[in-house]
Amino acid sequence: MTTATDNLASAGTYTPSAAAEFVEAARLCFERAARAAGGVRERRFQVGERSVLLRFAGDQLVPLMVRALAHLEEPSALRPDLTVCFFDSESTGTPMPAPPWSREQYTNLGEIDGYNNGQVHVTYTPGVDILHCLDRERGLAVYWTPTFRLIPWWEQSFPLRSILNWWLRDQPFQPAHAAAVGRPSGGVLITGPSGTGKSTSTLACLESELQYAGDDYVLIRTDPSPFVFSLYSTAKLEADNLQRFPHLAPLVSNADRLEREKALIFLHEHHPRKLSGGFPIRALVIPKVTGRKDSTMETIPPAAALLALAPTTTKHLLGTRRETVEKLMRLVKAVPSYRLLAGTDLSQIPVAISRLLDGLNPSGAS
Amino acid sequence: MSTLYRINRPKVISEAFDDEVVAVNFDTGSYYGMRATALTIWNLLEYGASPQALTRRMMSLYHGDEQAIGEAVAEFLEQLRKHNLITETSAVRADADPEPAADHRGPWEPPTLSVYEDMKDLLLLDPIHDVDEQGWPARKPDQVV
Repeated sequence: MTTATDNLASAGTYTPSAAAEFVEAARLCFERAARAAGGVRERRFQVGERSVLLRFAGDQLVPLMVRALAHLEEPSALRPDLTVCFFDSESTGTPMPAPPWSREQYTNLGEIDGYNNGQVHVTYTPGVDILHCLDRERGLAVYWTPTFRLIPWWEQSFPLRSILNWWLRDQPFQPAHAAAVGRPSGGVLITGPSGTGKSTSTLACLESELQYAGDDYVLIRTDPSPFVFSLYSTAKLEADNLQRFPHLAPLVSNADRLEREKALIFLHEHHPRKLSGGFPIRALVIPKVTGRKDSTMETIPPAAALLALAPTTTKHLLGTRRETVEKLMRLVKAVPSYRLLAGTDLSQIPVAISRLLDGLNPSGAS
Repeated sequence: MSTLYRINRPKVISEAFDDEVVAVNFDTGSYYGMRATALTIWNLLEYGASPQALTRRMMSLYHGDEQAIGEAVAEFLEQLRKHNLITETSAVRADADPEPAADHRGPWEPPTLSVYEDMKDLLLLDPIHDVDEQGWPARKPDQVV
């Protein structure tokens, strides 16, 4: 049986650790898959302040990975900061060589024991069969799955989530489980565990003057000043919550699968002007559904905001917990925090947020 | 000689926010919130302290029954120990303040530890057991999270 590291005979002079060797072997396999599939498809995106190049072996994974990022697409001839190579074995007819690790090295969170260090991260997500590997020094990642047919629906809503998290570990950027709405002069980060009203509060703002930078994962910059960048143009809603947004129902991309998937909407395809690339963060907002009609804001201690934002972010972003928490602590200390007591009259939610921004931004600049 | 405890650095980090401290245990992914008397005890544990020393310091800072305070301190330390937030140490740090802090003499309230264990369900997932002939995991749809 040929293993991935055996392929390094053709990898030239590159001979770092076993983990880095595996990334190179995976890249070589991608190149073979691309030749078999008739070539490489390349798409370029601006993620935060970085340039990211996505390379695909063949066509099958392109729509699945690109659709949520389409609003960030930006052709550029500059050298990319990060290159991610995507392939699947079924559509390219190219098998991934056997892994150089044993079955005992799979951990329950998917990280491969011995293949995660300061330079390289390798995970194999249990149950969904997706391999992510990244060599941070090279700015190179490989994404492989046995078949494009089994990519889960949520993966399409936040592609690259894990790879971006590892790649940005030592930089003042952090993917965060939060939504963001605001104006060019500043906006709010809306966060909290799933089911606390984050998406409802965010989507309620679509009919208002506020712009939308994301409803699930956004990219935070902590220094030199708090800023949020849009990552994904998707909006996600529980199917039974869709009745509160009847104007969004015709936009749902997976209407035939709502018994097992959240309703998924690619907003840039329908409301491109509502999308914002980002804005300064003026406040953290933690929603709480009250059942009352009216919506109001109240101040909360920063510790409460951290406990709403950090656990839900680190839960799904593995391998960088310490760096992530430290960045989120800096953010929470830099801006005030509020609880949005969200009422049933959804039109009041953007009004409450706009009033908050008016108060924090007395100049009224927009 | 009574046991001395200190915060379990570097596995645990904590950050003070006004009147609350948030601690994170990176071994388990759990988060903890501590306010009021719990915050005071946590700050003293930074330097290392015995249960008896902590009780004496609480007596100097709050109005309350000595036995009740002693029992509450011991119970709180046991909670911190159970969550691996503190560990035994051999000495009090040299920069510890030997004098009691200013006497606020507020009413004593037992310290409480708020626990946020969002990682728990993930940590309980089964690791991968079955692999195919190539060595890649065999798909188990019921493991999808």
